[in-house]
Amino acid sequence: MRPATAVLADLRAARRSLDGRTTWWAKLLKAIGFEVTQHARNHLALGLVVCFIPVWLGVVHTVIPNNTVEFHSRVLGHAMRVDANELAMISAVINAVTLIIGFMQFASVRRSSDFDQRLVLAGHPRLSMLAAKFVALVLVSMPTAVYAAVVMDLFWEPRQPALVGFSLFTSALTYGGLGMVLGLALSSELAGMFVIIMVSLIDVMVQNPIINPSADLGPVRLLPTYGSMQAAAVAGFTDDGAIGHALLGLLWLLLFGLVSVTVFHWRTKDHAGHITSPATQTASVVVTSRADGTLSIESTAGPILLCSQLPGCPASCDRTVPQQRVRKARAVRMTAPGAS
Amino acid sequence: MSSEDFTLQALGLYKAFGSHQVLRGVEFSLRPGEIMGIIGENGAGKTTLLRVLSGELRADSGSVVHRGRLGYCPQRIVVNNELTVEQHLRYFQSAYQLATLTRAHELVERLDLTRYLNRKAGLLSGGTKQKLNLVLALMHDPGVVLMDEPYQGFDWDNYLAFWAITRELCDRGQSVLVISHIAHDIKRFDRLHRLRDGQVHAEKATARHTAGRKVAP
Repeated sequence: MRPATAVLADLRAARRSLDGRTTWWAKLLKAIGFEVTQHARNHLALGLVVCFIPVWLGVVHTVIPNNTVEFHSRVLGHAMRVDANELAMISAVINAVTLIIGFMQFASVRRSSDFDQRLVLAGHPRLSMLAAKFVALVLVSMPTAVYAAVVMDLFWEPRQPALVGFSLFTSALTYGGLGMVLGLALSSELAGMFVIIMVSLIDVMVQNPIINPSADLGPVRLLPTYGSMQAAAVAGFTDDGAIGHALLGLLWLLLFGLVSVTVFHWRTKDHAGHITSPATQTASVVVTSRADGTLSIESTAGPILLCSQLPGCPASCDRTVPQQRVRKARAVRMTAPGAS
Repeated sequence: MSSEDFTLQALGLYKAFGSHQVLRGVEFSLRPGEIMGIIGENGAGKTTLLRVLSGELRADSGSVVHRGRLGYCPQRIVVNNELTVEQHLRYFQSAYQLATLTRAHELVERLDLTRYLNRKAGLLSGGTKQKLNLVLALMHDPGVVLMDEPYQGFDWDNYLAFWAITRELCDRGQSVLVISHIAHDIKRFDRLHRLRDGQVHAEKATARHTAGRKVAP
Protein backbone atom coordinates (compact mmCIF):
# COMPACT_ATOMS: atom_id res chain seq x y z
CA MET A 1 0.00 0.00 0.00
CA ARG A 2 1.33 3.43 -0.92
CA PRO A 3 2.13 5.82 1.88
CA ALA A 4 -0.16 8.83 2.38
CA THR A 5 2.62 11.25 1.49
CA ALA A 6 2.98 9.68 -1.95
CA VAL A 7 -0.76 9.91 -2.52
CA LEU A 8 -0.71 13.56 -1.47
CA ALA A 9 2.20 14.23 -3.80
CA ASP A 10 0.26 12.63 -6.66
CA LEU A 11 -2.77 14.76 -5.84
CA ARG A 12 -0.65 17.91 -5.84
CA ALA A 13 0.89 16.93 -9.17
CA ALA A 14 -2.58 16.32 -10.61
CA ARG A 15 -3.71 19.70 -9.29
CA ARG A 16 -0.71 21.45 -10.85
CA SER A 17 -1.38 19.74 -14.16
CA LEU A 18 -4.79 21.44 -14.25
CA ASP A 19 -3.24 24.91 -14.06
CA GLY A 20 -3.11 26.49 -17.44
CA ARG A 21 -5.67 24.09 -18.88
CA THR A 22 -8.77 25.95 -19.93
CA THR A 23 -11.14 23.16 -20.89
CA TRP A 24 -14.56 23.02 -19.27
CA TRP A 25 -13.61 19.84 -17.41
CA ALA A 26 -10.38 21.33 -16.10
CA LYS A 27 -12.34 24.31 -14.83
CA LEU A 28 -14.87 22.00 -13.21
CA LEU A 29 -12.19 19.96 -11.44
CA LYS A 30 -10.46 23.09 -10.17
CA ALA A 31 -13.76 24.54 -9.00
CA ILE A 32 -14.61 21.30 -7.16
CA GLY A 33 -11.26 21.51 -5.40
CA PHE A 34 -11.93 25.08 -4.30
CA GLU A 35 -15.46 24.26 -3.14
CA VAL A 36 -14.26 21.31 -1.06
CA THR A 37 -11.51 23.52 0.38
CA GLN A 38 -14.12 26.04 1.49
CA HIS A 39 -16.13 23.32 3.23
CA ALA A 40 -13.01 21.92 4.86
CA ARG A 41 -12.21 25.34 6.29
CA ASN A 42 -15.66 25.71 7.86
CA HIS A 43 -14.39 24.67 11.27
CA LEU A 44 -17.67 25.32 13.03
CA ALA A 45 -19.54 22.90 10.79
CA LEU A 46 -16.80 20.29 11.06
CA GLY A 47 -16.82 20.67 14.83
CA LEU A 48 -20.57 20.12 14.84
CA VAL A 49 -20.18 16.97 12.76
CA VAL A 50 -17.54 15.54 15.07
CA CYS A 51 -19.05 16.59 18.40
CA PHE A 52 -22.72 17.40 18.03
CA ILE A 53 -23.80 14.12 16.42
CA PRO A 54 -22.48 11.84 19.22
CA VAL A 55 -23.58 14.23 21.95
CA TRP A 56 -27.07 14.57 20.49
CA LEU A 57 -27.44 10.81 20.03
CA GLY A 58 -26.12 10.26 23.55
CA VAL A 59 -28.71 12.64 24.96
CA VAL A 60 -31.55 10.98 23.04
CA HIS A 61 -30.34 7.53 24.05
CA THR A 62 -30.28 8.58 27.70
CA VAL A 63 -33.49 10.60 27.87
CA ILE A 64 -36.03 8.83 25.65
CA PRO A 65 -37.66 5.80 27.36
CA ASN A 66 -37.75 2.35 25.80
CA ASN A 67 -41.52 2.22 25.42
CA THR A 68 -43.06 0.61 22.38
CA VAL A 69 -44.63 2.94 19.84
CA GLU A 70 -46.35 2.47 16.51
CA PHE A 71 -44.64 3.83 13.42
CA HIS A 72 -46.65 3.93 10.20
CA SER A 73 -44.47 2.49 7.48
CA ARG A 74 -45.48 3.23 3.90
CA VAL A 75 -42.83 0.78 2.77
CA LEU A 76 -44.36 -2.16 4.62
CA GLY A 77 -47.92 -0.92 4.28
CA HIS A 78 -48.70 -1.27 7.97
CA ALA A 79 -47.69 0.08 11.37
CA MET A 80 -44.54 -1.27 13.02
CA ARG A 81 -44.30 -1.64 16.77
CA VAL A 82 -40.81 -0.41 17.59
CA ASP A 83 -38.68 0.79 20.48
CA ALA A 84 -39.31 4.55 20.97
CA ASN A 85 -35.71 5.12 22.03
CA GLU A 86 -34.30 3.58 18.86
CA LEU A 87 -36.84 5.30 16.63
CA ALA A 88 -36.02 8.62 18.28
CA MET A 89 -32.36 8.04 17.54
CA ILE A 90 -33.10 7.59 13.84
CA SER A 91 -35.11 10.79 13.88
CA ALA A 92 -32.39 12.59 15.84
CA VAL A 93 -29.53 11.52 13.59
CA ILE A 94 -31.43 12.57 10.45
CA ASN A 95 -32.18 15.88 12.14
CA ALA A 96 -28.53 16.44 13.07
CA VAL A 97 -27.10 15.49 9.68
CA THR A 98 -29.60 17.53 7.69
CA LEU A 99 -29.13 20.64 9.84
CA ILE A 100 -25.34 20.50 9.65
CA ILE A 101 -25.13 19.83 5.90
CA GLY A 102 -27.84 22.39 5.18
CA PHE A 103 -25.93 24.93 7.23
CA MET A 104 -22.60 24.08 5.57
CA GLN A 105 -23.94 24.42 2.06
CA PHE A 106 -25.88 27.56 2.90
CA ALA A 107 -22.85 29.22 4.50
CA SER A 108 -20.56 28.29 1.64
CA VAL A 109 -22.90 29.55 -1.09
CA ARG A 110 -23.93 32.68 0.82
CA ARG A 111 -20.39 33.75 1.70
CA SER A 112 -19.04 33.26 -1.81
CA SER A 113 -22.04 34.85 -3.50
CA ASP A 114 -20.33 38.09 -4.62
CA PHE A 115 -17.11 36.25 -5.36
CA ASP A 116 -18.95 33.82 -7.61
CA GLN A 117 -20.56 36.71 -9.46
CA ARG A 118 -17.14 38.25 -10.00
CA LEU A 119 -15.81 34.95 -11.32
CA VAL A 120 -18.71 34.58 -13.75
CA LEU A 121 -18.30 38.15 -15.01
CA ALA A 122 -14.62 37.34 -15.48
CA GLY A 123 -15.62 34.47 -17.74
CA HIS A 124 -16.02 31.39 -15.56
CA PRO A 125 -18.81 29.13 -16.88
CA ARG A 126 -21.83 29.21 -14.59
CA LEU A 127 -22.72 25.58 -15.10
CA SER A 128 -19.28 24.41 -14.09
CA MET A 129 -19.43 26.48 -10.90
CA LEU A 130 -22.84 25.12 -9.97
CA ALA A 131 -21.84 21.56 -10.83
CA ALA A 132 -18.79 22.00 -8.60
CA LYS A 133 -21.01 23.07 -5.71
CA PHE A 134 -23.20 19.98 -6.11
CA VAL A 135 -20.23 17.63 -6.39
CA ALA A 136 -18.72 19.20 -3.29
CA LEU A 137 -22.04 18.72 -1.51
CA VAL A 138 -21.97 15.02 -2.37
CA LEU A 139 -18.34 14.71 -1.26
CA VAL A 140 -19.09 16.35 2.09
CA SER A 141 -22.38 14.54 2.69
CA MET A 142 -20.96 11.08 2.12
CA PRO A 143 -18.42 10.93 4.99
CA THR A 144 -20.81 12.81 7.26
CA ALA A 145 -23.55 10.23 6.70
CA VAL A 146 -21.10 7.36 7.17
CA TYR A 147 -19.76 8.92 10.37
CA ALA A 148 -23.27 9.50 11.75
CA ALA A 149 -24.31 5.92 10.94
CA VAL A 150 -21.20 4.56 12.65
CA VAL A 151 -21.80 6.69 15.75
CA MET A 152 -25.39 5.50 15.92
CA ASP A 153 -24.15 1.91 15.76
CA LEU A 154 -22.38 2.57 19.06
CA PHE A 155 -25.76 2.96 20.77
CA TRP A 156 -27.80 0.26 19.04
CA GLU A 157 -27.49 -2.05 16.07
CA PRO A 158 -29.87 -1.36 13.18
CA ARG A 159 -30.75 -4.40 11.07
CA GLN A 160 -29.41 -2.78 7.89
CA PRO A 161 -26.78 -0.17 8.83
CA ALA A 162 -25.79 0.44 5.20
CA LEU A 163 -29.34 1.42 4.25
CA VAL A 164 -29.58 3.63 7.32
CA GLY A 165 -26.36 5.35 6.19
CA PHE A 166 -27.71 5.74 2.65
CA SER A 167 -30.90 7.28 4.01
CA LEU A 168 -28.82 9.74 6.00
CA PHE A 169 -26.84 10.54 2.85
CA THR A 170 -29.93 11.34 0.76
CA SER A 171 -31.47 13.39 3.56
CA ALA A 172 -28.20 15.36 3.78
CA LEU A 173 -28.32 15.99 0.03
CA THR A 174 -31.90 17.22 0.35
CA TYR A 175 -31.00 19.81 2.97
CA GLY A 176 -27.77 20.67 1.14
CA GLY A 177 -29.94 21.54 -1.85
CA LEU A 178 -32.20 23.63 0.38
CA GLY A 179 -29.15 25.39 1.84
CA MET A 180 -27.94 26.15 -1.64
CA VAL A 181 -31.23 27.73 -2.71
CA LEU A 182 -31.37 29.80 0.47
CA GLY A 183 -27.73 30.84 0.06
CA LEU A 184 -28.51 32.16 -3.39
CA ALA A 185 -31.87 33.71 -2.65
CA LEU A 186 -31.51 35.28 0.80
CA SER A 187 -29.40 38.30 1.53
CA SER A 188 -29.06 37.69 5.25
CA GLU A 189 -27.07 34.87 6.80
CA LEU A 190 -29.26 34.90 9.89
CA ALA A 191 -32.45 34.59 7.83
CA GLY A 192 -31.09 31.54 6.05
CA MET A 193 -30.13 29.83 9.28
CA PHE A 194 -33.58 30.45 10.74
CA VAL A 195 -35.34 29.11 7.66
CA ILE A 196 -33.26 25.91 7.70
CA ILE A 197 -33.95 25.37 11.39
CA MET A 198 -37.66 26.05 11.05
CA VAL A 199 -38.07 23.77 8.03
CA SER A 200 -36.20 21.06 9.90
CA LEU A 201 -38.39 21.51 12.98
CA ILE A 202 -41.57 21.05 10.99
CA ASP A 203 -40.06 18.20 9.01
CA VAL A 204 -38.98 16.19 12.03
CA MET A 205 -41.80 16.98 14.43
CA VAL A 206 -44.65 16.20 12.05
CA GLN A 207 -43.13 12.77 11.31
CA ASN A 208 -42.61 11.93 14.95
CA PRO A 209 -45.19 9.23 15.88
CA ILE A 210 -45.23 10.34 19.51
CA ILE A 211 -46.12 13.93 18.62
CA ASN A 212 -48.25 13.05 15.61
CA PRO A 213 -50.04 9.68 15.83
CA SER A 214 -51.39 10.23 12.28
CA ALA A 215 -47.93 10.50 10.80
CA ASP A 216 -48.88 8.60 7.66
CA LEU A 217 -51.36 11.15 6.28
CA GLY A 218 -50.89 12.52 2.77
CA PRO A 219 -49.24 15.90 3.47
CA VAL A 220 -46.57 14.21 5.59
CA ARG A 221 -45.32 12.45 2.46
CA LEU A 222 -44.39 15.82 1.02
CA LEU A 223 -41.91 16.57 3.77
CA PRO A 224 -38.27 16.73 2.66
CA THR A 225 -37.00 13.84 4.79
CA TYR A 226 -40.13 11.70 4.59
CA GLY A 227 -38.51 9.18 2.25
CA SER A 228 -35.29 9.03 4.24
CA MET A 229 -37.12 8.58 7.54
CA GLN A 230 -39.30 5.81 6.12
CA ALA A 231 -36.29 4.02 4.61
CA ALA A 232 -34.16 4.41 7.74
CA ALA A 233 -36.95 3.13 9.99
CA VAL A 234 -37.49 0.05 7.83
CA ALA A 235 -33.71 -0.47 7.66
CA GLY A 236 -33.41 -0.10 11.40
CA PHE A 237 -36.05 -2.62 12.42
CA THR A 238 -36.55 -5.03 9.50
CA ASP A 239 -34.68 -6.77 6.71
CA ASP A 240 -36.97 -5.35 4.00
CA GLY A 241 -35.65 -3.18 1.23
CA ALA A 242 -36.59 0.50 1.13
CA ILE A 243 -34.09 2.00 -1.28
CA GLY A 244 -36.87 3.58 -3.35
CA HIS A 245 -38.02 5.67 -0.42
CA ALA A 246 -34.43 6.68 0.37
CA LEU A 247 -34.09 7.92 -3.20
CA LEU A 248 -37.02 10.30 -2.73
CA GLY A 249 -34.49 12.72 -1.24
CA LEU A 250 -32.82 12.92 -4.63
CA LEU A 251 -36.06 14.24 -6.14
CA TRP A 252 -35.91 17.07 -3.64
CA LEU A 253 -32.29 17.64 -4.57
CA LEU A 254 -33.28 17.79 -8.24
CA LEU A 255 -35.99 20.33 -7.47
CA PHE A 256 -33.62 22.48 -5.40
CA GLY A 257 -31.00 22.10 -8.12
CA LEU A 258 -33.34 23.49 -10.77
CA VAL A 259 -34.24 26.44 -8.57
CA SER A 260 -30.54 27.02 -7.87
CA VAL A 261 -29.65 27.06 -11.56
CA THR A 262 -32.36 29.64 -12.23
CA VAL A 263 -31.46 31.90 -9.30
CA PHE A 264 -27.71 31.59 -9.91
CA HIS A 265 -28.17 32.51 -13.58
CA TRP A 266 -30.23 35.54 -12.63
CA ARG A 267 -27.84 36.66 -9.91
CA THR A 268 -24.72 36.40 -12.03
CA LYS A 269 -26.18 37.75 -15.24
CA ASP A 270 -24.31 40.41 -17.15
CA HIS A 271 -27.14 42.88 -16.59
CA ALA A 272 -25.69 45.67 -18.64
CA GLY A 273 -26.56 44.03 -21.94
CA HIS A 274 -23.64 45.80 -23.51
CA ILE A 275 -23.61 46.54 -27.17
CA THR A 276 -20.36 45.48 -28.68
CA SER A 277 -18.75 47.30 -31.53
CA PRO A 278 -18.85 45.19 -34.64
CA ALA A 279 -15.88 42.93 -34.49
CA THR A 280 -13.50 42.93 -37.37
CA GLN A 281 -13.52 39.51 -38.95
CA THR A 282 -10.47 38.02 -40.48
CA ALA A 283 -11.43 37.17 -44.01
CA SER A 284 -9.75 34.72 -46.31
CA VAL A 285 -10.30 35.48 -49.97
CA VAL A 286 -9.07 32.90 -52.45
CA VAL A 287 -8.66 34.04 -56.04
CA THR A 288 -8.14 31.20 -58.52
CA SER A 289 -7.27 31.73 -62.15
CA ARG A 290 -9.04 29.22 -64.36
CA ALA A 291 -7.82 27.76 -67.63
CA ASP A 292 -10.42 29.71 -69.60
CA GLY A 293 -9.08 33.03 -68.26
CA THR A 294 -11.90 33.66 -65.76
CA LEU A 295 -11.36 34.14 -62.08
CA SER A 296 -12.94 32.14 -59.28
CA ILE A 297 -13.25 34.12 -56.04
CA GLU A 298 -14.17 32.58 -52.70
CA SER A 299 -14.57 34.49 -49.46
CA THR A 300 -14.85 33.07 -45.96
CA ALA A 301 -16.41 36.29 -44.65
CA GLY A 302 -19.49 36.89 -46.75
CA PRO A 303 -19.87 39.12 -49.80
CA ILE A 304 -16.86 41.05 -51.03
CA LEU A 305 -16.51 44.04 -53.32
CA LEU A 306 -14.46 43.40 -56.44
CA CYS A 307 -13.38 46.43 -58.41
CA SER A 308 -11.13 46.20 -61.45
CA GLN A 309 -10.95 49.97 -61.97
CA LEU A 310 -10.16 51.31 -58.55
CA PRO A 311 -8.85 54.75 -59.55
CA GLY A 312 -12.00 55.44 -61.52
CA CYS A 313 -14.37 53.76 -59.17
CA PRO A 314 -17.51 55.86 -58.67
CA ALA A 315 -18.35 56.87 -55.10
CA SER A 316 -21.55 54.87 -55.16
CA CYS A 317 -20.04 51.59 -56.26
CA ASP A 318 -19.97 50.19 -52.75
CA ARG A 319 -23.68 50.64 -52.14
CA THR A 320 -24.35 46.96 -52.66
CA VAL A 321 -22.09 46.06 -49.78
CA PRO A 322 -24.31 44.88 -46.97
CA GLN A 323 -24.24 46.98 -43.83
CA GLN A 324 -22.61 45.39 -40.85
CA ARG A 325 -25.10 44.71 -38.17
CA VAL A 326 -24.44 45.79 -34.62
CA ARG A 327 -25.30 42.80 -32.55
CA LYS A 328 -26.03 42.51 -28.90
CA ALA A 329 -23.41 40.46 -27.21
CA ARG A 330 -21.33 40.24 -24.09
CA ALA A 331 -18.83 42.97 -24.57
CA VAL A 332 -16.18 41.34 -22.45
CA ARG A 333 -15.82 38.57 -24.93
CA MET A 334 -14.91 40.82 -27.85
CA THR A 335 -11.59 42.24 -28.82
CA ALA A 336 -11.27 44.90 -31.47
CA PRO A 337 -8.11 45.93 -33.27
CA GLY A 338 -5.95 48.30 -31.35
CA ALA A 339 -7.07 47.01 -28.01
CA SER A 340 -5.11 44.43 -26.17
CA MET B 1 -10.65 62.06 -32.58
CA SER B 2 -12.82 59.88 -34.75
CA SER B 3 -16.03 58.51 -33.35
CA GLU B 4 -14.40 55.08 -33.37
CA ASP B 5 -11.40 56.16 -31.31
CA PHE B 6 -12.52 54.96 -27.93
CA THR B 7 -12.12 51.88 -25.78
CA LEU B 8 -15.21 52.50 -23.69
CA GLN B 9 -18.21 54.68 -24.34
CA ALA B 10 -21.21 55.37 -22.14
CA LEU B 11 -24.29 56.53 -24.00
CA GLY B 12 -27.24 58.09 -22.14
CA LEU B 13 -27.08 55.93 -19.03
CA TYR B 14 -30.04 56.22 -16.69
CA LYS B 15 -30.43 54.31 -13.46
CA ALA B 16 -32.89 54.71 -10.61
CA PHE B 17 -33.44 52.84 -7.37
CA GLY B 18 -37.14 53.16 -6.74
CA SER B 19 -38.00 56.84 -6.97
CA HIS B 20 -34.37 57.88 -6.46
CA GLN B 21 -32.86 58.72 -9.84
CA VAL B 22 -29.11 58.15 -9.56
CA LEU B 23 -27.87 58.43 -13.15
CA ARG B 24 -29.53 60.91 -15.49
CA GLY B 25 -28.01 60.44 -18.89
CA VAL B 26 -24.32 59.80 -18.29
CA GLU B 27 -22.26 60.16 -21.45
CA PHE B 28 -18.53 59.99 -21.92
CA SER B 29 -15.83 58.18 -23.84
CA LEU B 30 -12.60 56.64 -22.68
CA ARG B 31 -9.81 56.68 -25.21
CA PRO B 32 -6.91 54.33 -25.81
CA GLY B 33 -3.98 54.98 -23.49
CA GLU B 34 -5.87 57.37 -21.25
CA ILE B 35 -6.29 57.64 -17.50
CA MET B 36 -9.60 59.27 -16.79
CA GLY B 37 -10.87 60.19 -13.36
CA ILE B 38 -14.46 60.61 -12.29
CA ILE B 39 -14.95 62.24 -8.92
CA GLY B 40 -18.07 63.00 -6.99
CA GLU B 41 -19.42 63.50 -3.54
CA ASN B 42 -20.63 60.66 -1.38
CA GLY B 43 -23.90 59.36 -2.78
CA ALA B 44 -23.38 60.98 -6.19
CA GLY B 45 -23.72 57.58 -7.87
CA LYS B 46 -20.07 56.80 -8.64
CA THR B 47 -20.22 53.18 -7.58
CA THR B 48 -23.56 52.71 -9.34
CA LEU B 49 -22.01 54.11 -12.51
CA LEU B 50 -19.06 51.74 -12.30
CA ARG B 51 -21.28 48.75 -11.61
CA VAL B 52 -23.31 49.61 -14.69
CA LEU B 53 -20.16 50.04 -16.77
CA SER B 54 -18.82 46.69 -15.61
CA GLY B 55 -22.04 44.84 -16.38
CA GLU B 56 -22.74 43.97 -12.75
CA LEU B 57 -25.85 46.17 -12.73
CA ARG B 58 -28.35 46.82 -15.48
CA ALA B 59 -29.02 50.40 -16.55
CA ASP B 60 -32.65 51.42 -16.95
CA SER B 61 -31.72 52.81 -20.34
CA GLY B 62 -28.64 53.69 -22.32
CA SER B 63 -25.78 51.50 -23.37
CA VAL B 64 -22.12 50.81 -22.82
CA VAL B 65 -19.82 50.00 -25.69
CA HIS B 66 -16.29 48.84 -25.11
CA ARG B 67 -13.44 47.13 -26.83
CA GLY B 68 -11.06 44.66 -25.34
CA ARG B 69 -11.46 42.74 -22.13
CA LEU B 70 -12.62 44.51 -19.02
CA GLY B 71 -10.80 44.56 -15.72
CA TYR B 72 -13.01 45.58 -12.84
CA CYS B 73 -11.83 46.47 -9.35
CA PRO B 74 -14.94 47.08 -7.23
CA GLN B 75 -14.95 49.41 -4.24
CA ARG B 76 -16.19 46.65 -1.97
CA ILE B 77 -13.44 44.07 -1.72
CA VAL B 78 -14.74 40.94 -3.40
CA VAL B 79 -12.57 37.99 -2.43
CA ASN B 80 -13.27 34.62 -0.85
CA ASN B 81 -12.14 34.62 2.76
CA GLU B 82 -11.69 30.85 2.82
CA LEU B 83 -9.25 30.70 -0.11
CA THR B 84 -5.59 31.67 -0.08
CA VAL B 85 -4.15 34.38 -2.29
CA GLU B 86 -2.58 31.72 -4.52
CA GLN B 87 -5.92 29.92 -4.83
CA HIS B 88 -7.56 33.19 -5.86
CA LEU B 89 -5.03 33.57 -8.64
CA ARG B 90 -5.57 30.01 -9.85
CA TYR B 91 -9.36 30.36 -9.74
CA PHE B 92 -9.26 33.54 -11.80
CA GLN B 93 -6.71 31.96 -14.13
CA SER B 94 -9.52 29.54 -14.98
CA ALA B 95 -12.06 32.32 -15.41
CA TYR B 96 -9.83 34.49 -17.60
CA GLN B 97 -8.53 31.43 -19.49
CA LEU B 98 -4.89 32.30 -18.90
CA ALA B 99 -2.19 29.85 -19.87
CA THR B 100 0.16 31.10 -17.15
CA LEU B 101 0.13 33.26 -14.04
CA THR B 102 3.21 35.21 -15.06
CA ARG B 103 1.48 38.59 -15.13
CA ALA B 104 -0.39 37.85 -11.90
CA HIS B 105 2.81 36.97 -10.07
CA GLU B 106 4.49 40.07 -11.43
CA LEU B 107 1.69 42.19 -9.99
CA VAL B 108 1.81 40.27 -6.72
CA GLU B 109 5.50 41.01 -6.42
CA ARG B 110 5.15 44.68 -7.25
CA LEU B 111 2.38 45.12 -4.71
CA ASP B 112 4.38 43.26 -2.08
CA LEU B 113 1.91 40.41 -1.79
CA THR B 114 4.34 37.55 -2.31
CA ARG B 115 4.70 36.68 1.34
CA TYR B 116 0.92 36.32 1.66
CA LEU B 117 0.49 33.87 -1.22
CA ASN B 118 -0.34 30.96 1.06
CA ARG B 119 -2.42 32.94 3.52
CA LYS B 120 -6.21 32.83 3.56
CA ALA B 121 -7.81 36.06 2.35
CA GLY B 122 -9.86 36.20 5.53
CA LEU B 123 -6.67 36.64 7.54
CA LEU B 124 -5.33 39.55 5.47
CA SER B 125 -5.50 43.17 6.56
CA GLY B 126 -7.85 45.54 4.73
CA GLY B 127 -5.07 47.10 2.66
CA THR B 128 -3.61 43.73 1.70
CA LYS B 129 -7.03 42.45 0.71
CA GLN B 130 -7.42 45.51 -1.46
CA LYS B 131 -4.14 44.65 -3.22
CA LEU B 132 -5.54 41.20 -3.98
CA ASN B 133 -8.75 42.86 -5.18
CA LEU B 134 -6.63 44.93 -7.56
CA VAL B 135 -4.50 42.03 -8.79
CA LEU B 136 -7.65 40.08 -9.69
CA ALA B 137 -8.75 43.02 -11.85
CA LEU B 138 -5.43 43.37 -13.66
CA MET B 139 -3.97 39.87 -13.93
CA HIS B 140 -5.42 39.21 -17.42
CA ASP B 141 -3.92 42.42 -18.82
CA PRO B 142 -7.30 43.95 -19.72
CA GLY B 143 -7.77 46.54 -22.44
CA VAL B 144 -10.04 48.64 -20.26
CA VAL B 145 -9.71 48.85 -16.49
CA LEU B 146 -12.49 50.18 -14.27
CA MET B 147 -11.45 50.94 -10.70
CA ASP B 148 -13.54 52.20 -7.82
CA GLU B 149 -11.43 53.79 -5.08
CA PRO B 150 -8.60 51.40 -5.98
CA TYR B 151 -5.98 52.64 -3.56
CA GLN B 152 -8.04 52.73 -0.38
CA GLY B 153 -5.98 51.34 2.49
CA PHE B 154 -2.69 51.49 0.57
CA ASP B 155 0.44 52.81 2.23
CA TRP B 156 2.55 55.36 0.36
CA ASP B 157 4.83 52.83 -1.35
CA ASN B 158 1.93 50.79 -2.62
CA TYR B 159 0.13 53.94 -3.68
CA LEU B 160 3.14 54.81 -5.83
CA ALA B 161 3.36 51.23 -7.11
CA PHE B 162 -0.31 51.42 -8.07
CA TRP B 163 0.24 54.57 -10.13
CA ALA B 164 3.36 53.13 -11.76
CA ILE B 165 1.38 50.05 -12.85
CA THR B 166 -1.48 52.23 -14.07
CA ARG B 167 0.89 54.45 -16.08
CA GLU B 168 2.49 51.40 -17.70
CA LEU B 169 -0.94 50.13 -18.72
CA CYS B 170 -1.69 53.41 -20.41
CA ASP B 171 1.68 53.56 -22.10
CA ARG B 172 0.79 50.24 -23.70
CA GLY B 173 -2.46 51.70 -25.03
CA GLN B 174 -4.73 50.30 -22.32
CA SER B 175 -7.31 52.62 -20.78
CA VAL B 176 -8.02 53.20 -17.12
CA LEU B 177 -11.05 54.77 -15.48
CA VAL B 178 -10.61 55.62 -11.80
CA ILE B 179 -13.55 56.65 -9.67
CA SER B 180 -12.92 58.41 -6.40
CA HIS B 181 -14.67 60.64 -3.92
CA ILE B 182 -11.75 63.04 -3.61
CA ALA B 183 -9.70 64.70 -6.30
CA HIS B 184 -6.22 64.57 -4.84
CA ASP B 185 -3.22 63.97 -7.06
CA ILE B 186 -5.18 65.14 -10.11
CA LYS B 187 -1.99 65.62 -12.08
CA ARG B 188 -1.92 61.88 -12.59
CA PHE B 189 -5.11 61.94 -14.67
CA ASP B 190 -5.31 62.77 -18.34
CA ARG B 191 -8.85 63.97 -17.90
CA LEU B 192 -10.99 64.59 -14.88
CA HIS B 193 -14.77 64.56 -14.80
CA ARG B 194 -17.20 65.15 -12.01
CA LEU B 195 -20.39 63.16 -11.45
CA ARG B 196 -22.98 65.68 -10.36
CA ASP B 197 -26.77 65.54 -10.50
CA GLY B 198 -26.56 62.18 -12.23
CA GLN B 199 -24.45 63.44 -15.10
CA VAL B 200 -20.75 63.57 -15.91
CA HIS B 201 -19.28 67.05 -16.37
CA ALA B 202 -15.75 67.83 -17.51
CA GLU B 203 -13.54 69.45 -14.89
CA LYS B 204 -10.78 71.85 -15.77
CA ALA B 205 -7.86 70.37 -17.69
CA THR B 206 -5.42 68.41 -15.57
CA ALA B 207 -1.70 68.91 -15.44
CA ARG B 208 -1.04 65.88 -17.62
CA HIS B 209 -3.51 67.14 -20.16
CA THR B 210 -2.09 70.66 -20.31
CA ALA B 211 1.40 69.22 -20.53
CA GLY B 212 0.55 68.38 -24.11
CA ARG B 213 -0.38 64.75 -23.96
CA LYS B 214 -2.00 63.46 -27.11
CA VAL B 215 -5.37 63.05 -25.45
CA ALA B 216 -8.11 65.21 -26.89
CA PRO B 217 -10.62 67.03 -24.67
